[in-house]
Amino acid sequence: MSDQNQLVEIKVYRFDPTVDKEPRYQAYKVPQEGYSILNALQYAYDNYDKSLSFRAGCQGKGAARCGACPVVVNGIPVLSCYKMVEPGMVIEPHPKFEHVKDLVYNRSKAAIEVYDAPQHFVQEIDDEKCVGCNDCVVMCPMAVYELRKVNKKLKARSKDASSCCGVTCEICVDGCSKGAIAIKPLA
Amino acid sequence: MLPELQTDVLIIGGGMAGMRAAIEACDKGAKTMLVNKGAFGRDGAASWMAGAGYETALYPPDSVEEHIKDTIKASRMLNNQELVRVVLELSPQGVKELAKWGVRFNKDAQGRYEQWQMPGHHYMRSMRASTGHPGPFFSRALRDQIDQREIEVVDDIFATDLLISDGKAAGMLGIDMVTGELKVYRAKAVILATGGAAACYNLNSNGNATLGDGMAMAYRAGAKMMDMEFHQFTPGFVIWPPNIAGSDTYKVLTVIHAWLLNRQGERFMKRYYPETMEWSRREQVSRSIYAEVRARKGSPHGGVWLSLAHQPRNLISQFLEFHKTDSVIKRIQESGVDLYHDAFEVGAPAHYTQGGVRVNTKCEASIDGLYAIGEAGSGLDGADRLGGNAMPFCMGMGVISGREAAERAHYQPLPHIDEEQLNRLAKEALSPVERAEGVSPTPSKKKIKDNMEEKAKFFRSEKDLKAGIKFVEELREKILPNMRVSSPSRRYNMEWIEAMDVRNMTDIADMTFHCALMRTESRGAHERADYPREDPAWLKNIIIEKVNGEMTFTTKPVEFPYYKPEDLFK
Repeated sequence: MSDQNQLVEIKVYRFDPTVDKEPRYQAYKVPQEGYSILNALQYAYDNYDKSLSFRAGCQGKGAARCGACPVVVNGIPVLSCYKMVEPGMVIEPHPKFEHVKDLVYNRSKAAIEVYDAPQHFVQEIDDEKCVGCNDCVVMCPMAVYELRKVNKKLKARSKDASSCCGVTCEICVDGCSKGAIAIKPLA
Repeated sequence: MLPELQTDVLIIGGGMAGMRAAIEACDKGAKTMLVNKGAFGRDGAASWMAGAGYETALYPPDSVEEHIKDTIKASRMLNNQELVRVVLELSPQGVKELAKWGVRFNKDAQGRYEQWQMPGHHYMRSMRASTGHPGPFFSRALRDQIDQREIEVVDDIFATDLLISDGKAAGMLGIDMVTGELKVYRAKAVILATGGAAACYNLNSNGNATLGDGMAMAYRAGAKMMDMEFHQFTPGFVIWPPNIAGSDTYKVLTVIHAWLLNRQGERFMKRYYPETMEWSRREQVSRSIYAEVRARKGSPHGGVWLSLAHQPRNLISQFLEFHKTDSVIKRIQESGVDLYHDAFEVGAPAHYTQGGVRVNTKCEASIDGLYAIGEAGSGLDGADRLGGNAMPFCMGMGVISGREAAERAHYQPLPHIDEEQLNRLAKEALSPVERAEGVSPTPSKKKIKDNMEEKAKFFRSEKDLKAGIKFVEELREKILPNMRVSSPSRRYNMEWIEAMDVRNMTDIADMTFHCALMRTESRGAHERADYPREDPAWLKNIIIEKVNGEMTFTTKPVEFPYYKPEDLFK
């Protein structure tokens, strides 16, 4: 099926702490058209390299709900089931979490508190519109939001902005019934 | 000696049923551990994709009794009526719990919950979260409850086998995927909440995690299995482009009348169901799509085309405006499909496994101390599941099994581990990484999926099923004893897990082919081309058991304590 599909090169972060001394980047040729990064990683695993490891989760079935597959592409966090392949992409593990192998991370509660990562996106909440309904808190695959008391009323607030997969996800922006959330790249 | 972890109640699987069971067992005072194949609360479980809703009877004239009646009718009389009753009686309570735990349901002006009607239900019963697609929101609410309790959650454990000593469940053997070592989990009660086996089909709506691990494990340990010929299929899932493959577009078919076209642009449904066309029942549409693909009239990737182009522009605009927050429709457009003009490829994937471990009304399997719930269990769906019933089943069975397992933990001492059995199972689990020469499991995994897709979907025939059985025999003989993992590092080794998958899938395929061959009739989701009619002589369940290393099959007539066939089918 990928015969007619033009192959492009992507680079993937490889590091197995039990074997390797230092990380390296491996290039794979993967189909571009219609392929998300997750599809491309699966393609690379199936066709070239059985030692490659990554998390798949719900595999984008029904559109990115589970939040198991975040990676960093060219330095920006994205959900790998959502972001489409582009030539020359450099794919690395999400720095927010404890690294296990290649693109696999440990996302237990303890690990999230320990690690910190640079912030790339700002979650803007319009307090005029927000009714503190908790939807964004349960909806965000990366658990970015919490409710806080602002002037005695509950309002959504970002508690973990550096986990946010920003513009590739926007589940909170689409899902907020009041249209109170906007996501913008950090200036 | 392998590292050992101990607990009272061990729950395998972190989907909705497993999470609910963990909450119940913990609240009843048992030391509870939940092991999960991926990252807890995120990976794998099919409940993430659940889209139909949570079916429950809340307001008269509807009643739990009516719900039970509809469920039994849909099962074509094959389900366990006692089990259906105890589980569905818990369904209204489940809604209250979910609401208490933070799921927001819409209410109407009178303060009643908003409900929708689903095909096969006589009343409006479907509860959906105000945020749309219910699965993820229900799952996250349960996940937060787990986080607040003293429940030990262990991520990245691939369960390979159940441990049995003196005929009792004693725990499980698992691969800790992060470190790559084998670990023993010893417990007084084991709850299997490992989901179904829909991913054993090439086209499936579940993601690739639901490969029937728990079912195969229970079968190998000697538990009785039931109804493994019944797999449910559903129409209208995107199959291409790959980035959105598996997304549910059934609502595009139903909310706005879409057309299904074959490769020649023919609206083929008119040949199969000329009156109802695309609005036929789910299995009718699925079967028609499958027939077109078999006749080589399908789209390039094994499906058919779905088009809205016949609709007036403003109606499509209205539809898109109404669904602007729907991530699936948004992503179809993002991937370059212009819904005003273009068609996109949809198929009829495997959706749900109706068979599984045979359980009684306490969700106990035939092995003492083993429970099976959710899709891993059986007896609730019979030959066909009603849309939206899976969630009340998960919640209800979670409550029952959690309670029973916690009670058992109060009087049962921690079982000992049968060392000889453990050594044998550990050796088997390690064999793919230790073998010096052999074959990769990946091509076999693909082949099993292809065979299931071709031979065990619609229009099953004796010839195909026998070919399937032969294929499985070859797998057992040539591939299973020779699988080898190429990468030497055991840390998060995906190929090793695939080798374990192939072993499980072989058992699932074996059971499916044999049961489908044995049931010489068409009933619900099981359809034989050579036996197209429903046969009253087949009001029986096929029970599978491993006896002296051989797969054996027996039939057991269904009991009708509440409703007899003549009560429901006049």
